[in-house]
Amino acid sequence: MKNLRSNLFVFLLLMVLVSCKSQAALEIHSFDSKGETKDLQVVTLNSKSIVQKCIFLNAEDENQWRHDYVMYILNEHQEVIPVMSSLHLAKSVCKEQIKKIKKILNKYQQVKLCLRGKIKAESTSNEFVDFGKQGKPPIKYESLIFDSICSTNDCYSVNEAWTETCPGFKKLP
Amino acid sequence: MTIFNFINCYNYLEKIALIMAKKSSTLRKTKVREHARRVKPSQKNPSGITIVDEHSRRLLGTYLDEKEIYKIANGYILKNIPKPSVLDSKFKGGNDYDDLIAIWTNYFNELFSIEPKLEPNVIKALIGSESDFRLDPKNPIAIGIAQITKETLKIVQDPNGEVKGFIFNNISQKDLKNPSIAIPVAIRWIAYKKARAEAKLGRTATHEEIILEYKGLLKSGSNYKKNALERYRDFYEKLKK
Repeated sequence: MKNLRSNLFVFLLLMVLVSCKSQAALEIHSFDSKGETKDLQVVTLNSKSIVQKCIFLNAEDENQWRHDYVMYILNEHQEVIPVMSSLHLAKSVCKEQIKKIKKILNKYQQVKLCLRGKIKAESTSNEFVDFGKQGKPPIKYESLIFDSICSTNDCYSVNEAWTETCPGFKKLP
Repeated sequence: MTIFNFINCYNYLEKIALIMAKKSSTLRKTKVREHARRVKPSQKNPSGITIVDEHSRRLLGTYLDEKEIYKIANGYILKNIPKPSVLDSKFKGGNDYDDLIAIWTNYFNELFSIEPKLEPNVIKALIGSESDFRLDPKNPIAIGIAQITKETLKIVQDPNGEVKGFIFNNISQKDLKNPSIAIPVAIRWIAYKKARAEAKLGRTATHEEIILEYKGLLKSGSNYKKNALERYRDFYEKLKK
């Protein structure tokens, strides 16, 4: 009986460790798009590895509406991959996007992203991003473009401008 | 900026606006004398005649309205004018407006004798970065394929405003959702922004500086100029390949 109990304990411990490990992992699969190789990225990651922001660009005159939507992704090496909207957005549109994506992030532990562009290291950035308890890691990559975020049941996409999207994701008309 | 610099800069801008008024330093206007006009008989005008006060009228060639825009675009000979390069097919509608871009870039280059000339690829990349070539991306402030703001639309139609040398007439916000109207308005605005960037810099502006000025970031205190140019650069590089 004692043996059985200790086996059960070891089994539970292993399960906890395995589940912790799978939550922390970030998987990236690259796909070709029309005319470009490895230009679409499907990223599977833990919801807690994502931080979102609307950045006011501080433009002059009639351009004061310009905001950038930015999503920061934390990888397992404690490096940040920035992701941006393809267009500048008005504040209200940017905030609405954050809200819709946050809803998915809060509801599901793991999400899948479809991102556009090649993954390239960025050596000149000296920016750091606040991930709360996970620290303040540096940005180490060039920005990718946001296309979609999906969980097992919900999706949010802004891919109307392209003729294709990542495999397994839905293309908006 | 000192007051002296500011006045200098303002004078320079004013000079450019006047040069842009094509050939002469005065606007092409005529005086319309007081005259009678037939109207539908009403309680106010039972005789069916009203007196119109003396007023000034802009002559053709210093403004464009919708009818004139279509007339110019439809009659333009595309054969020998520079056209933008073709984008690959992953961009929906990415090459649909190439003729309009070519026509209106050429039109304003010639009209204002712009030197160095505006490049069609710069215009195409700018439009891509503003809207992804979508006719009306969701934005409560800016409208259409070139994301012209309501404020800009007012300026480009104001006979006493910043671009009084050559304005548009009777263009509505709804019209800006139509690329046939939005593209000439945007290119006229870019021509002005080029002159403005050059006045600010005191030298010829590079294409990226023109784009920064269009987006309101050339001389702003923004830390995000690089971010703001990223999409434009991406399109421009693809077009230059």
